[in-house]
Amino acid sequence: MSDKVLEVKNLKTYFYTDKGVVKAVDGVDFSIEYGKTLGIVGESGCGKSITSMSVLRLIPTPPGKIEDGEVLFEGRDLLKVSDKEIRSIRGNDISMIFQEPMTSLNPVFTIGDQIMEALMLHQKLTDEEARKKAIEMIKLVNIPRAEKIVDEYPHQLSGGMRQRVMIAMSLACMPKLLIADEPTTALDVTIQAQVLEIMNDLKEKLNTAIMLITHDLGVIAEMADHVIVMYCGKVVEEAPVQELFDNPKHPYTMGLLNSKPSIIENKERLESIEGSVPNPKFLPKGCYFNPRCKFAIEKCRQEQPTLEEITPGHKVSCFVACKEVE
Amino acid sequence: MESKVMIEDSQQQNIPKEQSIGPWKMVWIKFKKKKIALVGVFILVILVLSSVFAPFLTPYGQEEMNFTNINAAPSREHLLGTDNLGRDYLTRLLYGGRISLMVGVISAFISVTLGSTIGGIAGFFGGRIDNVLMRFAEIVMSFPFLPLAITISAVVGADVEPETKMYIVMMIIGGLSWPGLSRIVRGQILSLKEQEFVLAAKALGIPNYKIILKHLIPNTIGYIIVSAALGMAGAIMSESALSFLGLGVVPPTPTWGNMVQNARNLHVLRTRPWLWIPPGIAILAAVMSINLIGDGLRDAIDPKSNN
Repeated sequence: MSDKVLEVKNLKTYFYTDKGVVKAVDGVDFSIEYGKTLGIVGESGCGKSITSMSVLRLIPTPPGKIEDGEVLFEGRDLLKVSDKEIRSIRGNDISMIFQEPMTSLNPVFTIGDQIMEALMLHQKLTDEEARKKAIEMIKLVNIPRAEKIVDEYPHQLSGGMRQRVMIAMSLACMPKLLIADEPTTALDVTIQAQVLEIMNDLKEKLNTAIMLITHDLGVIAEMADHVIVMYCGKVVEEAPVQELFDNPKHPYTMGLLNSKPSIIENKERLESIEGSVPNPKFLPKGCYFNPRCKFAIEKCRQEQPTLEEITPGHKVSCFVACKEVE
Repeated sequence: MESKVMIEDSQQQNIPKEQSIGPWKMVWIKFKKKKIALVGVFILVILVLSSVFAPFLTPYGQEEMNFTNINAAPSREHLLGTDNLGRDYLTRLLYGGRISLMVGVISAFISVTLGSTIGGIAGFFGGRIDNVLMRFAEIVMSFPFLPLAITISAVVGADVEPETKMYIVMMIIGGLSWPGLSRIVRGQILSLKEQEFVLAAKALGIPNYKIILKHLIPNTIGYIIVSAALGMAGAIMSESALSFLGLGVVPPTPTWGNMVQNARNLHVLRTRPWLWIPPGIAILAAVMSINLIGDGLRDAIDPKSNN
């Protein structure tokens, strides 16, 4: 138990809109161990980002609300601590990288100021120490001319550099957990590779756990130790990365893996999953995936499956898959 | 490996050192191009310097009376003549500038502080807080300025020292002119707070007040500076108007406003123009130069006016 840095139990985040309740995250369980990477995959709108934001209580309320569940960070329930405590955890013990490097930096401050801000706030460093540390962090993420970059403004950097600055910022206080919300989506492939490499490097150096959110299976294969697949706010499959790619059980996971391009097979068209993600306000009865599922049986249309462990470490939420194993 | 190092070296030598241009430097470069704004700066600097160094520029004291020489026309001893108590008028004009400009600066400061804080809080928190603050701003805004200022000045400032009266005037002007800025700042912050850097700041554990002060307000600083400049001009005008009506700063403390008051007397208006033309010109010069600077700053700060 003690090797888990973060444990999320039955997390439910709902949004109350005029047109009804959106269950963006509906009973999600997962945990991350120190120094490991947990990948979260799923289509757009399946609740990946909301899950990560719920962990840090960054959900805009109203309309959002964390209805139920526990987020245990080193045994402390983050959903119950005071605002002051959560602020001292944000950026210090848990920090976050966002999807959009272009807008995630404040345009009117220099890079150095922005990295220093968290350092001075959490680590109580003096101006000078913080500046030294900022330069060190910029070097750590492989940006050349670190001494000059500290005094430059975000608009003077390229997207990849900005994303690396974001990483430098979030790692400055040596967090125990780094939440990376699609850190490479907005970057081109060569920069993606660099950014991922930096994250992997730092994971080893600082023993930081990473919660990696992405819809890019290639990134998952490269980075993650353990993967959860989300669909409509629920975890549909959870497995070690190798197991998931070799032996996917849930029809949705299979669909995802089938729809990725491959260099070995020469396919004319990529496969896709039929249909589209259901409107979260009008979810289908039974298993949320049943209208798009090739293997759906009558039971899938009536009852909701729960996450069952079929082999050690491999959990799946599907009646058909569970039956197969039996 | 060695060749690579050599290439890097030669590159470093050939490429001229790139100067980092910060936003303020950019504003200054653009501002310098506006000649008319520079004229404004020039005039304002002269006015400020001459009132700051007033004791060195004239041999007389501001309340030094000479009853043997009242209502004298401009001469070599008294460049702008003397008033009905025999006080040197140039001296009073210079010292008056101190008060008038100070009222302008401090009122603008009060109004900008109130306006940006209230607007910032309203925009950032939204919801009920926003509603209450903005309705309050509208209430303040819906009273016509001059009648309200006159009423407050008459009620609060009835039996006080001239010195105190000056501060009361500043507070009245500052306290009544913030709603416009607060609405602008609120609108800006409403759109700024949706940007990801605010979420990023929250994710770094930065407290709300710091997010407002350090991350949001500086992004609206362009509007705030322009509003401060224009507000300062407005405050000088308001002070002059109140003093002209006898409800602002009262004699013997000179201000440009209560010096223009002399023009209320028809006899003075006709026969002693040196008593009301110079302070009038001083007010005009100050207000105009500040407005020119404000316009120049607006164009320089607005990134869209990139020509």
